[in-house]
Amino acid sequence: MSPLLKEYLNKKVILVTTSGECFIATLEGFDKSTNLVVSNLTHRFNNDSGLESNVLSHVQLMRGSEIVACGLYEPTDEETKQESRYIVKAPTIHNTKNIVKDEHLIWMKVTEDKAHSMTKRRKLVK
Amino acid sequence: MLFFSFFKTLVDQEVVVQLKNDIELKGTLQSVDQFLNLKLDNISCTDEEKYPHLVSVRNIFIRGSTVRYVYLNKNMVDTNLLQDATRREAMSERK
Amino acid sequence: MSFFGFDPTAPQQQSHPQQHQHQQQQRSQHQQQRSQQPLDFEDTYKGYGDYQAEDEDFLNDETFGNNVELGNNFDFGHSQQQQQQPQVGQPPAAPVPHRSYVAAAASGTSQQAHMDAAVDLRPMESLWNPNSGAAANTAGPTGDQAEQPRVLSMEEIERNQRQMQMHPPPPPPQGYPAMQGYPMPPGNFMPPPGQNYPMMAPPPQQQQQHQQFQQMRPVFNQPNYMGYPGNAPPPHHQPQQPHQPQKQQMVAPQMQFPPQQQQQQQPVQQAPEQQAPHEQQLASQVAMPQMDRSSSSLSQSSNERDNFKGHPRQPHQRQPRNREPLTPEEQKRLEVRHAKVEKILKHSGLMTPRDKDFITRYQLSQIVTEDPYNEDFYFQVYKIIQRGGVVGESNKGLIARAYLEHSGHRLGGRYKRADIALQRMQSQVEKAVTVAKERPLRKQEKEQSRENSNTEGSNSAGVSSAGQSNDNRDGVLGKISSSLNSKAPRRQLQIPTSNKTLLNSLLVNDEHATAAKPTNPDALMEVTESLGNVELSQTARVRRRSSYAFTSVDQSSVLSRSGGRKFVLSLIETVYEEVLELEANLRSGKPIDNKKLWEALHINDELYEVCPFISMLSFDKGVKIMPRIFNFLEKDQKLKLLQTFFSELSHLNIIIISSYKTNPEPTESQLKQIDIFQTVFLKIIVSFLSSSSNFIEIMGLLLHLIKNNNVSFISTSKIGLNLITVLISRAALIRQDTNRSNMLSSPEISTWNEIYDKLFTALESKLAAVFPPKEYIQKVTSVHLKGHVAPGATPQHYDQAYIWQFLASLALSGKLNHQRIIIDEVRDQIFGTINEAEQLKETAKTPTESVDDLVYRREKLYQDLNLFLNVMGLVSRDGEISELK
Repeated sequence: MSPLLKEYLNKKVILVTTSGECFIATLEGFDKSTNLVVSNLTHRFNNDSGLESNVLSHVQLMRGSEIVACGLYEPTDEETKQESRYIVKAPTIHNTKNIVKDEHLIWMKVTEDKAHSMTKRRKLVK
Repeated sequence: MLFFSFFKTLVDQEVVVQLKNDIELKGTLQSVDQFLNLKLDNISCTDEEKYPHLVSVRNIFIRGSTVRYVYLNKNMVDTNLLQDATRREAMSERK
Repeated sequence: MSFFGFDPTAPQQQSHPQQHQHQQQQRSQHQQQRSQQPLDFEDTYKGYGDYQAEDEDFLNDETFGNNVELGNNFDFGHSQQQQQQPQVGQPPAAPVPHRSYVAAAASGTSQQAHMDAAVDLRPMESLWNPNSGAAANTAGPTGDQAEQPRVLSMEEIERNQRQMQMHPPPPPPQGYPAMQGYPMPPGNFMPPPGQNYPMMAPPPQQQQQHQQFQQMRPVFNQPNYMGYPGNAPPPHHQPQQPHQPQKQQMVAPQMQFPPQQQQQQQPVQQAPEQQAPHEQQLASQVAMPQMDRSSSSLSQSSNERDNFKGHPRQPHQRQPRNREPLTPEEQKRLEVRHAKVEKILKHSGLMTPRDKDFITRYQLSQIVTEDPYNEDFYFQVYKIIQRGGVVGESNKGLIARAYLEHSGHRLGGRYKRADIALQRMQSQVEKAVTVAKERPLRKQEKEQSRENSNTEGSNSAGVSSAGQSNDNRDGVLGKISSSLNSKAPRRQLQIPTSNKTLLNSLLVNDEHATAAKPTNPDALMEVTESLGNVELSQTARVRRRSSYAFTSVDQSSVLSRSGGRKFVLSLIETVYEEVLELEANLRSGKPIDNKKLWEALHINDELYEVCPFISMLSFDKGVKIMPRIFNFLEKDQKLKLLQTFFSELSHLNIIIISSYKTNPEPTESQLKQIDIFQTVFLKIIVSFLSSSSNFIEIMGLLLHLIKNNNVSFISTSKIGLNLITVLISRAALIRQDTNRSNMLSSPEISTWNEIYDKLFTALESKLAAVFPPKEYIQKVTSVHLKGHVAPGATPQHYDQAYIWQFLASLALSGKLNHQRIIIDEVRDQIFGTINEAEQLKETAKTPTESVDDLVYRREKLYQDLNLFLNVMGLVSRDGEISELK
């Protein structure tokens, strides 16, 4: 269906999830809803141990709905040397939910205002 | 189909994709599928300082559902044609 | 339906109930023997596949449904025959055996009631007699034939059937109590219901059976419930169980059932009537049908009933097998199988075959599209446009070209230049002027001969005016170096005086008699007739007045008089749809019928004060679609459209916007709108006029314009002036053309002169007003400057070329006295222009503007002015006006 990921198969990819996490893994499989099967899942940045062997999971299925992007990991030599993944302080990525805090209050206010103006109008009509 | 059709015309053009997690990626649109998943080539992150995650990535697959905006150049769109296409779409849906 | 790819060729005893009874009997015996041995897994397992065949239960009516010999097969347990003697006697008596289920079912309730009455149901009672109290109670209503279906609950019927089914050959009285406590074998719900039910019905009670069916049917509400029997595990094990002496054995395997099933089982054990759980199980699997059960309807499709038909012989096979004991191993396997099957069944039946078919088709339609230009329109066309389009060889190219040409797309179309319309108009005027310029020379040569040939009196006025005009112009334009006496009288003057009579005779003549004439006499008649009414007609008067009253820039005022903004917008969309449809037809080679499009245009709509079509042109998108509309209109439709257009010009929003009187301070967007209109609509008109219209039609259009509009107001608008220019310059060209090839008939010419007179009268004394005031010009220029801040672009100047073009056209068609009046009225502007040009020379030192630019502007001013002056054989150069040489 969606052949876009085909050329990433069996290669190292960087995964960004909707929750804002970032991983490196090998793409083993995918389907049309971007559900992914990945192996050798590790964090993109090893902020704690800094050990390469810090494999989170050997094989894992990731729900397509949690995937934001999947990029082919092809570090240049320089980047490999720099070991950019071992940045200690990992920058955070926002999640994709963009939840507004206390959103319900806003909507409550909106509906209140609406109701208010409605009654006003009704009064005017009368 | 309209948007799929539309995005297909943007292939090989440089676009900026803003994701819902605020990351902005500039790159050449390589391909798009009917879910509007995008594949960008030669990407660069507009704010690399803040998001070094994709430093070693040149080619990226983006799930369509997580795209907030796709910024286009004005001349990439033929608005008259797009209007016609939109009308067609509306007509075919009504049938 | 084979779920696991089971071998459908495996044991057929259950799978093909349709087969002949004796065959089955043989086989069942055979199986009985077989089943003495421990079951091989393969044997049982393969049983799944057998159910594939049951899918074909739909076809059962072919084999069994119609006129089936039910015979013994329907006798549930021949064993019962001994106990229920009366019953046994009954079957032959009953007329039923040859009656098909389908027929019975289809015959409906009334028939059924009738049947019920016909058949003595009492044997049923006797059948149930051995039953315990509860069973007897339920059996009670059986006697009450009419009511029975309603009285019996589903559970009750089920129970009855179950009891019958389990009715063991050994003395029933004992057996039943035992059965009561006997938990349902787990698999019991599995056997295809179709197998169960018929099996339970004793043959003589076929009517009863029908009734039961009626109640049970809802369970099988969905046709694809048919799949259910197919999915069920081979039932041959379950029925055995009731007959096993060691019933406890059966309980044990139950316990091992998956929790879900156990849950279902529990009520079984607790309930006093164990048949109900069976029902529950059934229901739990086919939840939806269960819901329907209570509202059991009699209007079941016979198709569903057919499901039941295939199974009457099942009991036959089963009973022998019933005796076969189950080894624990088998039971285990059974359980596994049940679990598997249940998994499958959980969601089986959610979709009918039709649903599945629909999905399949839908999916296919997503992949395959027969017309990519409908589905993927934007991409396909865009790509071709981008490619520079129109790569001739491919089909795609052709299609896109068709789209482009018909859509008048800015990137394609017949003419690449967008400003082509104006250019064409300009060249039209220029051409006419050139012809006029050349004429004096030729005329001079011919003068002598002409003077002789001229009919006396006809041109005397012209000749004298030629002389006068010379003097006049001298006065008006100052000293003109050489005399204009050499100028020959204009061609119009050659028209013989008998014109009028000719015209009259033409009008009086039968149209057939004049049909041979190149021009359409009808049209001419129409024009000449309406000419008489140039004194405003009633409606025109109203129109005129309203156009005065509503010369507001606010387009809503006009819109409100043609149905309102929303209405007009929706009309535009309808028009678009029709056009798109027609274009699609064009691409796919289908016949084109523009009837709907024509209706959508509302050209003839008299319902509104302002024709909705005119209001459509208030919107840019309404204007933009016009070229594409024109592609699908017949010539007479186009003419009608343009007539309407010219008649209601005063209501046209764009005229109001582009007139300095009503809109002294145009905004940028309004100027853009004017530009769009100019490029789009003017182009249509110009190309229509130059390609397909004849002289009479042009006169007709002009007449429509003069009759229904305030011409002097329209002439204050750039668009309006251009429209008039287009008409009269085209007319002038035709007259010049026909000078060589086919002469215009004299009635035509005289008609034209009359129309021209009307036009001129309307404009006379207001000709100077075609020049917008300075303030307006400044405003427009400043807006343009703001709008086009392209660096390096030359500063915009108000291009008055269109005005000079108009004046040139007007002068071209007029006689000398007309020309004299024109010059007289615009004298100030002529000199003003010359002055402006000369001033440019002096201010050339201003650093802001380059010399080249100033030279260009100066040249342009003279060029425009000379276009007009040349008509009269004059030319202005370096601040002076001289005679054209």
